[in-house]
Amino acid sequence: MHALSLPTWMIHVSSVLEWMVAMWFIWQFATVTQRPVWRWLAIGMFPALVSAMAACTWHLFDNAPTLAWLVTLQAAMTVVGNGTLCLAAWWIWRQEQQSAES
Amino acid sequence: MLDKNTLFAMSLFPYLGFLWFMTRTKTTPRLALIGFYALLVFVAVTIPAGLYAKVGLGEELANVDWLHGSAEAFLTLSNIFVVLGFRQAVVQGRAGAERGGDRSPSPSPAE
Repeated sequence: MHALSLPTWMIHVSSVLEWMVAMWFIWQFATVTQRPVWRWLAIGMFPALVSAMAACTWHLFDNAPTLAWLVTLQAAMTVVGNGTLCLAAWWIWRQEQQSAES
Repeated sequence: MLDKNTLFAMSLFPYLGFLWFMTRTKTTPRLALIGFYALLVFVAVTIPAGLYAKVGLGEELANVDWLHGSAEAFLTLSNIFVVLGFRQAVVQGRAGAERGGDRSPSPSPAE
């Protein structure tokens, strides 16, 4: 696990922790504002965590070229994750359009 | 077989769609929205950093520690804004509810 220096590891770990904390606050946001549709955003943020785990696992094994498939997995989960983010945002936007009309 | 660079490039399009809808949703906390946009800075930094590592140093970006860490710091920064934005909205929402005046009496949408 020495391919990354300690500061670089800290930057990685804080990014991941922040993403999880953001999911938690979005869940709270949905409750507090009585807009449960926002929970879909927290759920849609999950695939990005899988992507992050793939990347961190690769770094943990010193960026081993034999484990390059982990980077492909990270990239694929980024596509999936951004797709779920987009779907969640579309759904939130649509629901708010409808509640504004009614 | 799709390679990682193609996949990373492809992932930008749904992200732009995400930004499009979040921007047009009136209830999105402003600071969180800034954070979501700031991720584009991370993307913009990572591309030349990756190219420089590959072409200039003949290495994967992940193996050039200072460059890897510096680029990744932009993702950490982006996430900080997202967290602070939603945290602030939760705190304000709770304070509003305690005053008794719920400022967002939206009918809970059927999901």
